[in-house]
Amino acid sequence: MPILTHVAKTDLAAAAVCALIGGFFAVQSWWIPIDPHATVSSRVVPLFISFSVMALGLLLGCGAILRNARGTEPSPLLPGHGFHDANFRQVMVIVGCGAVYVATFWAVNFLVANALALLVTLFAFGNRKWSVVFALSLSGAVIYQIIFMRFMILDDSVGALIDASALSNIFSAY
Amino acid sequence: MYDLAAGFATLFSDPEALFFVFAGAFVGIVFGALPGLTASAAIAMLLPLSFFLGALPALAFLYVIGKSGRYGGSIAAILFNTPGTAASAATMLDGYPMAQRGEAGKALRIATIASVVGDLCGELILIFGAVYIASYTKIFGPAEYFSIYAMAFVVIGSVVGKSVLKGIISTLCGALAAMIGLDIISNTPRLTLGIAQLEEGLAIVPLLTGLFVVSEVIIQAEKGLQAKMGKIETDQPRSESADYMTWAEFRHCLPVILRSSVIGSIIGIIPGLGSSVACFVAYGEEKRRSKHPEKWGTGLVEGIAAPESANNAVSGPSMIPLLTLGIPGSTIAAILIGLFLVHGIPVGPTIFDTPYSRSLIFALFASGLLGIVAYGAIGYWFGPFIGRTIALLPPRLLYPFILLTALAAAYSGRSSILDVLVALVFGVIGYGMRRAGFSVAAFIIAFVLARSMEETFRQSLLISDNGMLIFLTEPVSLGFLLLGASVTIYRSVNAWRRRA
Repeated sequence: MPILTHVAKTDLAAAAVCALIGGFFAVQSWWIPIDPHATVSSRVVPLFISFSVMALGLLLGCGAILRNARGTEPSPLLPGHGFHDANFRQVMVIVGCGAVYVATFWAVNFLVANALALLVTLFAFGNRKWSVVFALSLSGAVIYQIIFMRFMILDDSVGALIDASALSNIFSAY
Repeated sequence: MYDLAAGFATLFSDPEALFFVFAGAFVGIVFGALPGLTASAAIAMLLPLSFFLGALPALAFLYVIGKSGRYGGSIAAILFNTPGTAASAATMLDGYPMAQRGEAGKALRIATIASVVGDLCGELILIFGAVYIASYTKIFGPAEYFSIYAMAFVVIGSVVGKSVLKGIISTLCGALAAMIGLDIISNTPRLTLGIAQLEEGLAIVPLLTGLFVVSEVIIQAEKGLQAKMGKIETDQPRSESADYMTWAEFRHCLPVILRSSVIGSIIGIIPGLGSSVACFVAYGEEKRRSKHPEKWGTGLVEGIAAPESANNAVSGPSMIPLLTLGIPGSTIAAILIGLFLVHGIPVGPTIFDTPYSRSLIFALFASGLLGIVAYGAIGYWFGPFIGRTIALLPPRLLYPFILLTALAAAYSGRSSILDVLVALVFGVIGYGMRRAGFSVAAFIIAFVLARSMEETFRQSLLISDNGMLIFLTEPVSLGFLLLGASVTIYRSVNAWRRRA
């Protein structure tokens, strides 16, 4: 078998992910309780879709192997397609920034989550002038607090670990 | 015509709606002009805001953003050689060489005129076509609707990208995501993994912000923020004719604009085919017709007029499947379905039956027409200024705020931290899908359609005496199923031939 091209590797990985997703949801669908009197039970459509995803995923994988063997792969890849030029470190950094936001939001509150997440995201995007980073983080968090909590009146829930509502109420309490 | 006049009267009697039409025109241009960000991304971030507005201001705001966002992409394409949206990729081919010659002002004004004419053509087709088609489709029953949904699924999956298989997998994954939550008929929890909050299902706002905004921020960060903003022709010598289109040039471009508008309108009616396809088809067709095809790509005015009129002409007709069949023809139409439902307006042909929804729809059409004029005026006089201002914004400061706005918007839909996590997870999924050649647009459209499709499937079987045969014995239903199968086979054979 010839060496796998990058396109084939990408398609094989995608096929594996599809098969896994389809398989996982097929099992989940199988566990859906059914009503014996229903004409079409609740699990029919999810089960059909799950099996279809799995089957088409396998078809994608088979197609990738066959095309690779015949040497009919389209190449070279355009920039932004495939993972040959991917920068996974940078992807993980941005996901990490998002994770900081979610964790701080859960643990403290919206205001602190915005301030902290802006701080780390600005840093992650290469801003190294600390005075600018701090000023933008704090002013940005206050603006978000005013727009979303004061004007849009969303639920400014108290954090699960720290109650910082006294701080956030300065900007959003009526 | 009477309905349209009444629509304008409704619009002009609502100052809030008028304000949001102009706001939508401006916001769309700015978002469209930011490289990487699309009208869909703008709508995803601003959708929660529209929940706090009345039906007309909310719909008009997002609808006009969709239109002006498509136009705004041309600013980035011409000035920065980076398409602001995929729909402007063809504009870049001749727009940027013109900017390099010191004719950026002229290029932007040609793009504006072409966009406005194209969009007006498309909007008129929508206004007069939708009511006519809806009068036929409103007699359809659940079996016909199921077949229409099934046809839409496979057609969208087949035409949305280069790979038919990946397109259909994208739609199926969107449908699978829509299955999460309580069953529509029996109220049984499905695919919730035991998480109580998931019983309400996945909300569309976190999905949109994740797939369109967070994934784009990841891609921009990954590129090291190499957006070519700031590369404008400012050092070039400029003359009066470098900034404005001459009458001779306009006369020369007008047939190109009209032909491309027709191409864009036809492509717009077909669900799944969007502006990005229309711009290249129109560009290719006009280049083929040209006496000097070798000059295309060197900075010809026709090379801007053709793709810009075609990509904006898609906007109106892409709403026809939504208003006549309840099928969103584009991502923006899919988002609008959610907004219609939030305001208690049923989508589909019956939308023209009740006086309230009929007057609302015609007021929305009026908003669309006014929005076109508004973004045309803003773009014609301030397009170059907006472009140069955006060039001054450092992406390293801009994108962190876009990420945070997206995450905050995800929260604002249902005030749920889980939704923020969902947006983040779908950001990574969207990144992976885009890298691996899957379609996030097909995913979203299928997500919106899947529940209705399941409902009509189950209703059909409830009323059927022949089980599944109901879909084959009803002629309209059979026709749509055959149409879907034909398109899929045609696309698959074409793709196979290209490879062979």
